[in-house]
Amino acid sequence: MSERIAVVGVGQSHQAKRRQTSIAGLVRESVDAALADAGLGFADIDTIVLSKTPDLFDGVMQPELYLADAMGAVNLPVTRVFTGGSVGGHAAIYAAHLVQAGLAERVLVVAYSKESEGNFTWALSRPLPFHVSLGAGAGGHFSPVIREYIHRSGAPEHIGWQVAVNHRLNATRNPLAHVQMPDITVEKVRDSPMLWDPVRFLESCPTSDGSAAIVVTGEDEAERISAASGRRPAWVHGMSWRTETGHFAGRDEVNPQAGADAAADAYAQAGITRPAEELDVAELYIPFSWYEPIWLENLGIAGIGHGWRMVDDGRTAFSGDLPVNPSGGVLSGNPTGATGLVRFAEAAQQVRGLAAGHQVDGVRRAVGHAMGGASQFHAIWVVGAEKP
Amino acid sequence: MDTSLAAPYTTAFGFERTVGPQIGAFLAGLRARRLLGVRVGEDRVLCPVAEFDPVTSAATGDLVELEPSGTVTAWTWVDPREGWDEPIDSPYAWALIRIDGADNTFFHRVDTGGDPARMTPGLRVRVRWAADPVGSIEDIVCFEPPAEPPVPGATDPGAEIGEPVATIEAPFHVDYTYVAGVGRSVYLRGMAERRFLARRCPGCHQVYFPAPDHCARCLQVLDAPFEISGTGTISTFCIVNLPFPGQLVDPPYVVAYINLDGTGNKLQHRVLEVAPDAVAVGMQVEPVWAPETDLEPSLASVRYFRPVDPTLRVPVADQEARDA
Amino acid sequence: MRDIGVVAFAQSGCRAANRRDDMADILAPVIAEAVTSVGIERGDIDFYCSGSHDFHEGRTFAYIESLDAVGAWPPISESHVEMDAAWAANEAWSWLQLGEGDIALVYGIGRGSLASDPDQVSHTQLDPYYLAPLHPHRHAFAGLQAHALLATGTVTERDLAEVVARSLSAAVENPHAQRSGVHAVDDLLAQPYVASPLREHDTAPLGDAAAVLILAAGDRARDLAANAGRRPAWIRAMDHRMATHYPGARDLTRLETVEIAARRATRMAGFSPAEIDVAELHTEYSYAEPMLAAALGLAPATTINPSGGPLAGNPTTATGLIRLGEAAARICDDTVDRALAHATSGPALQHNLISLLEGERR
Ligand SMILES: [Zn+2]
Repeated sequence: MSERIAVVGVGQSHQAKRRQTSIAGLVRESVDAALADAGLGFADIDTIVLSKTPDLFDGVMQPELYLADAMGAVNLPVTRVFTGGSVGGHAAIYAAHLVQAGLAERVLVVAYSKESEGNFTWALSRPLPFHVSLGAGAGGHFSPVIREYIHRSGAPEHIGWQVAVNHRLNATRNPLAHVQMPDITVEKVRDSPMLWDPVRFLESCPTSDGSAAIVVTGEDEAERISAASGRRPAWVHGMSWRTETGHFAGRDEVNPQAGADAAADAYAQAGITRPAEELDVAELYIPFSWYEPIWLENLGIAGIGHGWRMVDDGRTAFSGDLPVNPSGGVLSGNPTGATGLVRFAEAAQQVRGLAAGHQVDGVRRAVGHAMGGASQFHAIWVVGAEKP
Repeated sequence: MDTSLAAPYTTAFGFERTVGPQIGAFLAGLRARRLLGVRVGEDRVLCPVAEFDPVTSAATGDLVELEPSGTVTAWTWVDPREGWDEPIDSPYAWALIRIDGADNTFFHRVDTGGDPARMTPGLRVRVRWAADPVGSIEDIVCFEPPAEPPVPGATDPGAEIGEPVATIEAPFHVDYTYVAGVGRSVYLRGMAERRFLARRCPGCHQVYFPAPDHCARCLQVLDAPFEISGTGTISTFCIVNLPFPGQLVDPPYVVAYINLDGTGNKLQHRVLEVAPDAVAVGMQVEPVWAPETDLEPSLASVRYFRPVDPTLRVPVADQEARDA
Repeated sequence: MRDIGVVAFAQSGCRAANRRDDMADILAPVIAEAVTSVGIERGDIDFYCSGSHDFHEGRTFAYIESLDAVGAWPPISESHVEMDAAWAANEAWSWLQLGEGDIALVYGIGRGSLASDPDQVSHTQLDPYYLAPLHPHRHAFAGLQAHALLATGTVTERDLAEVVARSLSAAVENPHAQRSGVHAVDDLLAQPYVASPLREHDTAPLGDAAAVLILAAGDRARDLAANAGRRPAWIRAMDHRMATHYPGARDLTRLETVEIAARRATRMAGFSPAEIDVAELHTEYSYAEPMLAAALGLAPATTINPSGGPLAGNPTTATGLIRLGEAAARICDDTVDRALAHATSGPALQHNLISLLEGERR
């Protein structure tokens, strides 16, 4: 990469149904926290990138307009990106590109969702003329893909339950996570209501309100900021995004090429040839528990058909050799507009050694991943404790 | 046919917004027929109460009470819109009003009894309060020039300001036209005639049903439509167990991705007349059409798919058959 | 900075109401025209970026459906802004600066006709607590800004009518225009107000259209443009700035964001808006033209909106991108050597983007 890029500030709100705050207030919690982490003020920020999922989720069109004051955006360039659920990852990568291109020095990336103002399921499945209403609901899209994965890989059914337990136990280490279930067990997941067979209630993500923000800079700024704050930056070792259409004949949604291509590109930039060994932590976009083995395979961390074995062998649990979603992940909190950026930010916090209660020991390199649409948008970055 | 199907539809939803402490306090003031401003910086006052200073982005400070009167600085004269429930029947102005004691201006309506000539720079106006304030910006119906001479006792002292307002209603309603597109209209019209009209891509030779106008991988316009049987194979599926509003069939039921014979893309549809736990990947299915009178240009003309093998079929419950 | 130029621009005719095509079908032929014109194939494109908004299309994730028109298979490097596609061009331009690829395709699609009553949509982009609940007329903030501008005494209603007359007359030569014609200023001034001091013709007519730009770097740009018998319109600068939102917190008569963006663009380009020959301005209202011209410091001889501008057709989120395309087209075909493009977003010119373009001697 032409210019070294770093994350020097990270802020996140509590994820929950946030019924005590305005949209701007919710956004501001993370903005203030990210600036404080970096030791910067609004005057230091020169560019803003906003990440949010569909505006019908909360009914506010082009929210960057109303949020100008809350983001400290007055007289700054502001771009609102939108690529489905992967948007937070796309926003972070766009910010990095702006710095690399020499067009910005200190970019504030802001992401949020206030899902509680509206109804996520309604916004995604409104009846339209000439369409048939199948009553598939929110999980109706993903659960057949999961069934196909199980069918192809021959994975035993307890894998989904185990992932749900791992992530919820991780969430107990993260006070910002929405879902807190310290007493979760495989039995409880197994016995939870079947929603979209094969997906059970406790294998599904919640809908949450929440926000996240990060500050992205180049090398000189990162060193200056880090020296002043005493907190080390997360260095970007590789980043990539890929898109494929969701509609073409012959598409494989279990192992989408876009995800595999994005990961391969990011690893190549980072000089990673054996991701399972060279990565210490992964924060992956896992809205239903079975997506852990699906993404482990798709992103080249496990061989095709073997992702579930990493779960079964305990390698992806908090104490394993490659913990997945030590923050609790999407299964423990899902403010969709921010969910992707949270994955990227959590990867950064792990290599900065600032993940507090869910810090994994000795993390040198971590991967953050975001996914959107019908598994058709993928964004990924590899961050490290050392300069690339 | 070189025309597209099109139809009206409405997107409507009652969003409910939480407003936070500063806006909540301002709206609570309105509910008590009292106007609050907020201090920012050294000595500026903003009304309405902003959460963040538009100049410095700093969080705003203490609230101050202001007289509900001010001066018009700019306006635009408009007619009430047909079909809109507007609080003023006659033409009125949207205006910026500098509230006495504030440093910014307030956006709201000004009613001069339908007379645009009364709108002048520096016009003095007062708030006209709603009869039944609820804690919303609409508790101010509009501003209006004060009566001349002043009516004794007309100044409303307002009521006690209660707890900050927590939420406001935010109804969303947009009427749209849906344009299916010439390409998709082909298969949709076929559905209304109980025909599955598929199209082949001249580039990659993949066959699409439902067929758009052009192939999403080759970008070539698909060839002329031809009829396929509508039988197919379940490529994967889920069993919907979750009851939620608007379902046409009581759970559990199967929603499957079906590869229609001869096509390369997947069609999502219900699979009924079979016990959900007997459904399997690879199962052969066939369409069950709606009665003639219910046919429409939609996949809804297929009520559901069922196993081709009659031995796998179980009768659909009456309720399901009627509703599906 | 890398030399990045516009090498192709294509657009569909702006139609008041396209009831024939879905999003992808409006877009696909426009993409094909742009790509074919410079003699490349889909696989040659290194990056895609687009702009659109769900609330115009009336579908959640409308942008995903438009992706069917770009053929995202095998997977592509791609991004999207839920804004006017001029901001997508800005993202593509910054991406090309990275040197990871040489060719980017930018597209914008706008469906202004699908919502039956645009007032039902326009208020949703306002402050959700103090402005949106009032459901202001969609021209309300423009009417206020125009009123404030006229009150300064620098511009008259006749000036606005002259902007309209000149724009619609220029649009007669633009085959993509939705509205055009020759009008006497006095006839225009005799029309009733829709939001005083604005009349119907002072407002840009909403419509449906798609626009596509191909950007390329360095010698690749020269080659591609030459394939089409053009020269590249080099993007010498791009900058955009946002103002605060609430109209009562702004001086509506001053476009500070435009001044800042113009200053920064001048520094980047090495020439100023005063030194350009043609400006394509995102004037959704006639009054915006004198305001922008003043804030930019355009010279009196500058030709403004030779295409007719948005007053001749306003396909929502494609309108700003079309300004960039029209400005570039004047350079590509050797009509002028320097041009400016402007795009705006939000009520009362809240967010403004400026680009300075230049041709080189062939
Ligand atoms: Zn094809």
